[in-house]
Amino acid sequence: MSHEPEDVKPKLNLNISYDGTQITVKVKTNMKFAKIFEAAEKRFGKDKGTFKFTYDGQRIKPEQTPAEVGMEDGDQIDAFLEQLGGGYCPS
Amino acid sequence: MSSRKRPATEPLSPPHSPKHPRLSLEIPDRDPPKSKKIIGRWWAMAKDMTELVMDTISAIASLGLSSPTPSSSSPEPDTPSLVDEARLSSSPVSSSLDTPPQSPSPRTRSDANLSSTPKQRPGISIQSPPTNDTHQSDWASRDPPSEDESFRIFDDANFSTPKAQRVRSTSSDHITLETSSPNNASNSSGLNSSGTPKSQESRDSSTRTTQTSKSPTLIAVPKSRNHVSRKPGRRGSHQPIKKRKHIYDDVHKAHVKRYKLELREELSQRFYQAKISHGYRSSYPEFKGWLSYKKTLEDLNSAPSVSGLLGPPAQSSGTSQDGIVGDDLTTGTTLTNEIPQTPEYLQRALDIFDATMNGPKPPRPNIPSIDELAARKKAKQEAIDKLLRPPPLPTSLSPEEEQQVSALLRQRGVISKFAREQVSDQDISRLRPGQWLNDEIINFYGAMILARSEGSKENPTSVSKDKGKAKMKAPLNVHYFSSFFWTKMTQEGYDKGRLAKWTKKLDIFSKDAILIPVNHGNAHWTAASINFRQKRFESYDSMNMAKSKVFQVLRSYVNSEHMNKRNKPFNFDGWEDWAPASTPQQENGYDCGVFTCQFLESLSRGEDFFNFSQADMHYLRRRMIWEIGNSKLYNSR
Repeated sequence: MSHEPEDVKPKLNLNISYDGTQITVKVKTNMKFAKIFEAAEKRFGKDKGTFKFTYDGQRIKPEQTPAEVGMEDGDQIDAFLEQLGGGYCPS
Repeated sequence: MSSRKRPATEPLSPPHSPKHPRLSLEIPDRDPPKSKKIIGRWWAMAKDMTELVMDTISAIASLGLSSPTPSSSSPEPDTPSLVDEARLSSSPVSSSLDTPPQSPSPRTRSDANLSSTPKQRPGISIQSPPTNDTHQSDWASRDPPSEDESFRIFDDANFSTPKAQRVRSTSSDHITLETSSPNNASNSSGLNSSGTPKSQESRDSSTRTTQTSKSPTLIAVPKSRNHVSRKPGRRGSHQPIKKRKHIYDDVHKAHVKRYKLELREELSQRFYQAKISHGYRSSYPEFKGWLSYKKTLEDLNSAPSVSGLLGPPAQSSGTSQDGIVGDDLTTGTTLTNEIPQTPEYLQRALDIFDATMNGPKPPRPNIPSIDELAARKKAKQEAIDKLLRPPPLPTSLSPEEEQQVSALLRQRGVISKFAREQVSDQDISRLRPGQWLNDEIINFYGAMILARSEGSKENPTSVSKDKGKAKMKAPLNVHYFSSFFWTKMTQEGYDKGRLAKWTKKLDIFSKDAILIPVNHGNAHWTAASINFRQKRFESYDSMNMAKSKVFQVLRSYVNSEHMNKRNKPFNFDGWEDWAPASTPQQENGYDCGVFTCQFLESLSRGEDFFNFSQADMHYLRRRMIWEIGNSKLYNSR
């Protein structure tokens, strides 16, 4: 019974969205985001640390866990590459 | 009355005064009785002549009887013998008889007045051919005291001439005397006062001699009459001038009149031309009408003063002599005349006109146009804003802060953390001059802005406490969307991007403003704001690029959010797109991120304008390093 909660501990299906494409990762609530970010970057073929992740508009730090930010099953994490701007507007 | 009011008229009178007495005195003599008197005088003369003829006849008749008597009296006179002989031939009786009839009543009166000089009557009797004793004695006594030169000459002439021509010569002399009488007249006052009436008397006598001789009578007659009339006043010496008009009198007057008319016309023409050159459009006759009307009006306005100036002379001259009567007529008729202006008036009017037209023009009344008013209002508003706005930014941080900044730039790893944002050494190095900014800096800065706004909301006193130091407006209640909001919104849209979840803990419609950094094509940063206070979708672009997309996206988001949270479309009534031209502009290709951060920071304080420009970028980059390194905004200290 003691490990029951651990076993029962819900695993979250999180959608990671980048540039219109989504991937789904199944994570434990107490898993640090660092691990999730690494997986996502690998999936999207990006170098480590290039993505910036936000949850409902809030930045997610790698050391946080889904439980800390109150994620629920099916929530979406947005991944962004670094944004730059200086003055030239190509569009 | 006017003379009493205006003492200035008196100094003017002296030049006229010599004329006026003359005029006033002469007119009454001359005009009314003239014709009657002439007839009367002729009548009297005819009578005198007959008497004289009778007397001389009787005297000659008696001469033969009384011839011895004059010889007894002959030794008395020192005068030449010729005279004596002539006198001896006349009887004293006749002379005594002569005088009374010759001169009527005035003569006797003058004798009474001139009681000191009885000698004159004998002088009179000289002309009569017969002589008498009294007559000779008179002559004797008269010669020595004759001091008047003219008189002496007269005497000499008389005595030098032969006896036969004597009567005639006296008459001719007499004429000369008369013509020269003006000289006498000028001296006469002095002579009269000096008690030498002899000159007058001699003239009296001479006039009487002319009466005896027939040829000069015509000339002499008026004078004798004048003597009669004038004797009471004793001003006989003036009289001869006035009797006759100068032969060029009419010509001169006509000339003067013509000259005045010409002058008037010329001045009118000049005035007219002057007016024409300054925009007068009507014809010359109309101009004349205008001029006369103006003069009339001015006369009406200045009536008292004009009468004060012109009144007294006009009255006196109105009853006076010819020469001035002519002038009087012109001045009198000016008011009713067709060209009523005197040359003086015209000249004055012309001078005034020239002075006003050629003088410095008065400043034109300034009637500002709408544009000018708007510009003025704007300038005034800017002046007010300048007073209200915070002082211009300094060029550098304090030395301490500069040291901190330098230290921060040397630091490695994570430099600063704030809320969920953190900045690494790589990020902060982007704040070095000439570097583009990335989302980390922008969002870190935005997080600080948001925290300040929420901090002031939760603990208002903490801000007001610092008021004295920073004098900053209390931050607005704003929300800051991270730079990814725009990416999400433009790439995936509100629904697919699940942007509704971004605001699950907040109500954007209760905020004063929603601040959004906008990244355009990963190359340009601009600031956008949904200003709920002023109902504006705002875009602040330091490159002043296309804003329509920004407004479109903002409207779309607001409407979707409203539908999502309130289940009804957003009411856009009164909302406008706002992209002021006064937005500070960058002058290079790398400072837009700094501009964007400063736009957002100023907007969060509710500023309507931005007190920074390209020149402040170096300072602002340093300050942002400081702010990020210290995790607090410079203005919220």
